[in-house]
Amino acid sequence: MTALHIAFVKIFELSLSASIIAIIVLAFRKVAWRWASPSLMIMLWSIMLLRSLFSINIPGLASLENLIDPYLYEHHYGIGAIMDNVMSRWGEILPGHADTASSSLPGYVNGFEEPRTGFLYDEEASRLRSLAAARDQAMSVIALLWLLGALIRAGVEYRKEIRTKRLLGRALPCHDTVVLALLHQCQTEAKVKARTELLLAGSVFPFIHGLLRPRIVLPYDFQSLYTESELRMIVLHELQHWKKRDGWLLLISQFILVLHWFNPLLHWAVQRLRDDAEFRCDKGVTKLLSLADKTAYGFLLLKQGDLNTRLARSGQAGSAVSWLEKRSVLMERVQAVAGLLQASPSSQRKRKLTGFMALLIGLSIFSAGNTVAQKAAEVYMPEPVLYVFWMNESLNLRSMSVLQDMSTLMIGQPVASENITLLLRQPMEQSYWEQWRDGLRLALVDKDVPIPIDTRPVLEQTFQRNIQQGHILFMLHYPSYSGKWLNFSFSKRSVTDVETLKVLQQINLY
Amino acid sequence: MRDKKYSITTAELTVMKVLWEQQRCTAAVIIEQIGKHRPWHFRTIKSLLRNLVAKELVVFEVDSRDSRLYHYSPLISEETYLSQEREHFLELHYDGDFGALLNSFLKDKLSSTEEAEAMRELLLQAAQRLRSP
Repeated sequence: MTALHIAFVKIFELSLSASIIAIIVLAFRKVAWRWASPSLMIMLWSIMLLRSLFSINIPGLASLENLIDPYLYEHHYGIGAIMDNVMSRWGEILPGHADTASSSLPGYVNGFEEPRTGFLYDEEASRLRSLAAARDQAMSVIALLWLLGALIRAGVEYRKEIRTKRLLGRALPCHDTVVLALLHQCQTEAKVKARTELLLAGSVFPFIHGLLRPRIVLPYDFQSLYTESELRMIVLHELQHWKKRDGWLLLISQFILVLHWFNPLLHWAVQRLRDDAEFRCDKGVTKLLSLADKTAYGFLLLKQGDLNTRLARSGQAGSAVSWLEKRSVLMERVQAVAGLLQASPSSQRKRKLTGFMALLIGLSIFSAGNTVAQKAAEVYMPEPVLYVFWMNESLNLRSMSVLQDMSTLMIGQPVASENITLLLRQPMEQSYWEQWRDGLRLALVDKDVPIPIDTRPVLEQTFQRNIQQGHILFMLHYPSYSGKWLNFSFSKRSVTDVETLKVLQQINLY
Repeated sequence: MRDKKYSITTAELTVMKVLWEQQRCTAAVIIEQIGKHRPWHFRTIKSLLRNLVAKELVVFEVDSRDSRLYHYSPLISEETYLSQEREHFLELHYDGDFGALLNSFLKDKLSSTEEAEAMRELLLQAAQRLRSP
């Protein structure tokens, strides 16, 4: 379950960061879309996509996280605090979390492996343990819901893609030599070298499909729908999609929507990203056209909108309203094309200013907050650390006071009690690769795998401190993931007596 | 050429593609052409031909010199087939069952004639400004 918990917490944090970025980019787009270059907008959207998939740990002075994260995670009404409260309430409401842990701990007596018994949680430790168990349960339910939603979404998307592929399989190759020559000419103009297949299908509008091999699909009656000049503009538009690798952009954005299915802001943002990809292609095409053809391109968009309306009406299914129809990107695209025709010195200045602002926004949303970067540098996948404590035989290793003293000693602070002391604090010498391998293995699959530990350095410590009796607690601590909202860690342990250290040079921690 | 509704499976379409290309040919030619791309058994291809004949999408004539030889011809055109595919396309697209991984030239429809007029006016004004010095 730990792996699923970590995955969910990570997605939750990424989703929150990406939502803030989406709001900023959407606001910027709303204000400046007339002057902002579509390529710049795609750059900003790409940062959002990147930040919704990965944690970026490069610190930046102007990072947005410095401003936002305290409100999101630390503020009393922040989402992190709300999630904390929800899980704590769950713990208080749910009965049946009484401590059922065994009173024994893995250990050794006189050199023989034997569970050490008699350690019972006291009332306070038991309460905290019960609360932690309830939080764990709440986290499991939420994480499973997220996983279920992601699987359903992935299944739906896969089914749609299979249907599209089937439709493409039922398309016929275009043998019209005039159109094939036109395709060749457009490929030269757009500098696209990939072997492009031209197909005819029952589609209403032309489209391009394929990640590794472009396939342009035209409506079968294209000759009656478009003039040769219009066909050239359409093919150039589709080739621009290929040239800009928009297919990959769509694939990545769909994958992100599978992971962040619960976040409506990201759905909205991805739709806008798709629109901006269309604007970018429109701009790319108009660069290749004469001034008169640029106007004709605007009219072609209008004509296609009209064709879509008429052809959809003629089809039986045309009466069904798709959610895509609820808003018109057509108007925005026509306005953008008209805008390209009216470039004046003042609008050029505004474009430059908008570009500069977009770059500043890009920097502030790309870089990580200082706290995140610092945490990442210090804690992210650090070496596991071996802590060895000596405790007086009269101590209960599971009483709250002992657990608190252990925590204090682990962070290097002194404790008042003379009954407990830290004998050894030793980071495990591991390569980066070994840390990853062990961290993943222990977190994901093999929690019960024993870890062998050399006891000789501890024995030396007992000699130096003249320790003859008492408990020796070995604890190997793995700080596996440190997040903005929750931290995950786990440890392996074993309790021995001093005699065992004299007999065995190596013991196993469980 | 007939114009009524029909259904062609994807496998049958493979046979139809050869027939549209050849217009009139024997089963042996169809088997040879399909064999270049797909490892289908000749009996499978003959079954598909039988289905297409039964669906009245393909017609055959017996060779005048050799009665064992059949010449097959398509009864529907590529265009008729594709025009029926359009309904399938619209059904998928407007039911939202289309994959998101395709980039279309324009999916949107005109929402109103007023909007269309406004856009036309905008483009005309831009074009006019271009023409004026």
